[in-house]
Amino acid sequence: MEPTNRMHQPWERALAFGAAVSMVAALWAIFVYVPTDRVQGIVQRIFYFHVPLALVTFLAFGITAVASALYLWRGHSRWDRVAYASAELGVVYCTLVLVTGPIWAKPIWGTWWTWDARLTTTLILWLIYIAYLMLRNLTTDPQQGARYAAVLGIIGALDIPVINRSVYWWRTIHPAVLITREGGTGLSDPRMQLTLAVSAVAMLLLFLWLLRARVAQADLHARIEELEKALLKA
Amino acid sequence: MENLHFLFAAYTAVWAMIFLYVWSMSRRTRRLEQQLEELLRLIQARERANASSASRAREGNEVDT
Amino acid sequence: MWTLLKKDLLLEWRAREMLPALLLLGTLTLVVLSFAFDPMLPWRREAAPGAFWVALLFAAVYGFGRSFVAEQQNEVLQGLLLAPLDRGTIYLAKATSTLVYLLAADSVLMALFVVFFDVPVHQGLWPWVAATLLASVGLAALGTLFAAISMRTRAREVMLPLLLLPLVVPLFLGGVEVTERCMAGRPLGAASAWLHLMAGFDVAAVVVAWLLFEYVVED
Repeated sequence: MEPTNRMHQPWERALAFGAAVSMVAALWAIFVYVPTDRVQGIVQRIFYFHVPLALVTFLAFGITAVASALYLWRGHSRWDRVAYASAELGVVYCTLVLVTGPIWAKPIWGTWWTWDARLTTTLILWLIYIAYLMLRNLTTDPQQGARYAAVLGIIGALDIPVINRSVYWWRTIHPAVLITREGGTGLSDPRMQLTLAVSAVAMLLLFLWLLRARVAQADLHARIEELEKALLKA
Repeated sequence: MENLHFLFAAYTAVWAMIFLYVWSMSRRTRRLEQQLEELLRLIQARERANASSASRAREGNEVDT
Repeated sequence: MWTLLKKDLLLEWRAREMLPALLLLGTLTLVVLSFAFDPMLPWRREAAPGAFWVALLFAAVYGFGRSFVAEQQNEVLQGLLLAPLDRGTIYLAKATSTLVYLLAADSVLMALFVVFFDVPVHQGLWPWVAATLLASVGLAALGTLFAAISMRTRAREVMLPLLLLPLVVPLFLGGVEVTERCMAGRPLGAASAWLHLMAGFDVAAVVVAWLLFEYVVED
């Protein structure tokens, strides 16, 4: 069976369907169901996208790290394709976190960017995985590029908790003028918690659907290269 | 409902980015699928050419002997 | 491993690619930052630690790149790989020799820093020295690995800083915090946690880089 982007297996269809349904449910929950936050007003609803985007970003880069390790250890190029696809999606989601964050911050805190620990760590995370993508595109030998990127994927993921810790310490020494809540979601209303959960599920399913499609595309590309090589030899 | 435009901006950004990504991915995949079809056709044509030339060679031998 | 180390040290000494680069860029950065901060302003004293660490980072990132260019040109690495040597050992030798030269450059930069930024020299400066030492170990460890990677890419000069700088943020933050503390004349106290963080980072960095180096150089 040729790898294509069309969904053949039932679980793939179910995933797409689930992603669509949960997305609609999340939108309804965010715009209709959940009450407006008393303190922050209507802008607070960005939170219900911003946080799930961040969660999926971490998942994506975690997948990249694990797939990278498996690729280096086992050598199946499929792991490399998964790592690359997940990193690409991770950068997309991370960019969205960095875009929605300041848009949320501006009306609430009056400034686009605060060097608070989480946003700063996300920025550094973004930089590391942009470097990952550049490394893959700029290496002359693609196989070597895959290996280099795998090394970066592993080291990047290991480093992030350390970076987070150090940025957090740094912020406690130099607190911002504005106090930001560092721990937990700070949500008291169960309706808000439910909305957050639904949105998180929607983002997750969307990510998985995109990941499957992207990996399928990479598989397709690999198959084509195989055939081309065989053709040249014949 | 102050700050509504911020909310709008954030959601538009999310939707736009995801849409762009899906769109570019599907375009690339379609191009790859076309490439694959062409390659497969090329391979089949070559196999047919090899097969017919092989059978012609056999016929040529039979005629000679 | 010792012969390798000696060979690396000798090679660099003869080629003289890395050490001058380290010194040059570090010095230039310190000078430029001296201009950037008006000597008359009182907060210049507070900004000074940052200036030192920026200079150190930039020097390291630039200098590491130079060291591998020389090797590339002589294809020394190729020759080493053909020999039945443990990849990890090659890495350790290379990283150690890089560290030695980095530390040499560090001492010059520290002296220049004391002069340019009018730092009072007293007992309390030992944490600064310790922080510089720890940071250099981490920089050499990761820098050697990523310099090997970036040398084989198309955008060599850009790749190494792009890869290395985000990853060494903990070292940078720790260095600045500790330096700030001890230049202000305050006892280290809670800030010693930073030194522990940097030490832990270094250990992890050396181990991970040592393990992963073979994947970087295999062909």
